[in-house]
Amino acid sequence: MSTAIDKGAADALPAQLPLRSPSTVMRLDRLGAFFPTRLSFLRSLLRDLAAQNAQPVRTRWEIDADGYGRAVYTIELDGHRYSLIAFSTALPDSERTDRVIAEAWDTTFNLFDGIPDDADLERLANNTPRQEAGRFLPSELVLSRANKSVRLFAHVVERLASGQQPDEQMIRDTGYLMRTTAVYGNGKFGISDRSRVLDKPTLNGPFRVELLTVWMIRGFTHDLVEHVARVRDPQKFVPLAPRFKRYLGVGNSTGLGMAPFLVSHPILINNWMAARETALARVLAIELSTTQIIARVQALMARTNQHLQQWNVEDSRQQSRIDLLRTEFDSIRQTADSAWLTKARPWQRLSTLAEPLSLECQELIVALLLEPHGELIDGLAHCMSSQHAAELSPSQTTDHLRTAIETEFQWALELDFNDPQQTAQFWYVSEEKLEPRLGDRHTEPGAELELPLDVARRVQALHSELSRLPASISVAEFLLAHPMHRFAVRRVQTLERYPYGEIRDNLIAGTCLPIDMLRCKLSFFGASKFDPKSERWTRITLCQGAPLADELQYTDADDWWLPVLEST
Amino acid sequence: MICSENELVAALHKAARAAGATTGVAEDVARAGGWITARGGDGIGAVLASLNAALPQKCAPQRNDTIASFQDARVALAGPAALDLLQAGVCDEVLFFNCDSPVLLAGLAGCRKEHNGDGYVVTDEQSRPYSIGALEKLLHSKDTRFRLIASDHPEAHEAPNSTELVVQPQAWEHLLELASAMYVPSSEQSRTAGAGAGLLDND
Repeated sequence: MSTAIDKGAADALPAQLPLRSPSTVMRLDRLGAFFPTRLSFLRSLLRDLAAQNAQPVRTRWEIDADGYGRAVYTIELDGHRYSLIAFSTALPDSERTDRVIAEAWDTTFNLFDGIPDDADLERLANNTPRQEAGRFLPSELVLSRANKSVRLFAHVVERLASGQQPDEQMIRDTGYLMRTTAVYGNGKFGISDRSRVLDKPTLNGPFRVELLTVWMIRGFTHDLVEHVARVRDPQKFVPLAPRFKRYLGVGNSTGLGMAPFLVSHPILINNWMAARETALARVLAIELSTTQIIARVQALMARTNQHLQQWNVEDSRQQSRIDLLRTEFDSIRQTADSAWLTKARPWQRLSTLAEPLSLECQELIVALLLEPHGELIDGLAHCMSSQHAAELSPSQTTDHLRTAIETEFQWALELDFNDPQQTAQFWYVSEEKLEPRLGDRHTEPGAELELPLDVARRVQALHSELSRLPASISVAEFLLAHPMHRFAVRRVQTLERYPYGEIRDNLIAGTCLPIDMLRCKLSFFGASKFDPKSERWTRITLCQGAPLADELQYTDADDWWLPVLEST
Repeated sequence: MICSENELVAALHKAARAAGATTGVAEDVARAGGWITARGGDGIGAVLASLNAALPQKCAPQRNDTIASFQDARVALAGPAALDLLQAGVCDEVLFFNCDSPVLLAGLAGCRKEHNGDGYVVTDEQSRPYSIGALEKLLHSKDTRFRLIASDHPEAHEAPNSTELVVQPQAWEHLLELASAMYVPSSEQSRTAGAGAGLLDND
């Protein structure tokens, strides 16, 4: 009986090719070339909002003529209400900074569990604008803040108040009216742990409460700019054109604080990667595609080309990658015409076509291939969470453990940690803002307090210790004598079960570029147009091209992969 | 005051590291502190009771057939090791004499049950499980001998009694102070390389 059920379940799964191996996928340089896909968290969140016909409603608007005051938006999900509470305050130019060390912002926000009453709003008015210096309750799910793009905000106000639409090039160049400088979730400063939403299907996915907040903030920025313009000249005022609203997302500056997450959550990261790789494997297995999907891919290729033309950055390293990508993608477009895609295994052949090209191009093709195959892969978006913590298996033998290291961590065993370059950097938590930072081991103090991102070094040390054992014993007995290896043992055992859970590079080497980790994580959020400002931080835009609150039911609501602003 | 489990566990982890616990041990101890607090116990006190002096590099129990015994047990170190020995089937019970934090021992056992599904409990001589509350009353009874054994008895495994974690403000401040020993002062180098650095912010 059970065999029959199991067989039935197996038959129901779509065909797939073998997944790309973790040793291919989990390299830092490849992770640093990822693009958003339709499995990215913002995309799947907005699909789920649309499926519920959810729509935020502005329930309070106590904003003065200059745009200062407070507003509340409420949205119902899974039969439960959540509210975005926004505080907008006057901020002298001299105090406006994107740095995490800032102490004041143009706007501050909470995502609140329920509908706030006056007492809640009063309490939060005394805390939210202070951000890290405030204290919060489990009723708050998210804490965030954003600063205006001063030039664009003023320009849009001026134009709308005079009955004109803003300059298209300015909209395209900036892409947002405000940029967040932090979006805190999961228990920071007393706000709710993630456990509070685990029983809420729409919000229990990774970073969903944070990204719902960002999407609702974007709606607030549109309302705010229109409000200020309308008050300035009610007679001449015109609303912002929907195509501009849809193109304007929420900017963000992301730095090192985000990077260690990819190391400290191996099971979760495995699940993100495994879902993405499974999706790709399913698409690659398609024997023959349909006329409609081939046409859709052709249209997406044209859009991608336009997107790449509009993606320009000051960072010379990234700009040269974009330049190369434009050339490579163009050559792929020339080859992969409709006739070429009509033949057998079109997507596998397209993937093979990209193999000799840059990692940027390979990963762009991965994202492109996933885009038109929602019916085949969208369910995987619900396999990207994890409630599990990495656990030890004390009954495992040390022989087994050593073999596992030699199988999965061979790359780490090959590193020479006597070479100062291999230990050139160390990760730590800064005293100033309690945020992760990266130091130069040989010139900066604090290496004795480093965070355990030196996984490769620790696993190599564990392997050395295991190799000195005269006979195989249980892991329990080994750790009794060598408790310093507990962390590394747990990593190795976790990787056996979750093979995409480990970045297979030395994260303390002088060659480690944190920007690669940031881009990987941000691509899963759904960010595009990565704009690195150094090796350690990047600007991005979230929600660019995403449907507005009243567009979620539109037929093209989910069609916003690699958005472009079309000229009129 | 109310705190989140995430910030409590993060602070306990840093405090344990500052006291000399290895990263892997600190992970277990910190989670146990959160587990105890979620059940109305003093998780901070339970963890700090075992960290009030620098932890030794390792601990070695006496072994007698299927029983392991820790004398003057530092639970932060001996607790995870004892649970490993039980889980691996190396022994059937572990005894703790003059134990510095029996509540932490119960927290470690509870966490192991929560995450691995294997039930372990702290009991008295007659194998009667202690509750967190009962163990807190025995904090200063240095002569008490505790047994750690496998048990799936439902009464032995306490459920969280609230979704809100309540901690004493003074204990919280003390914990943050201990945790701060793991922070590194920012250098000029780090400040000039952080997110948002070097840009005009009023653009």
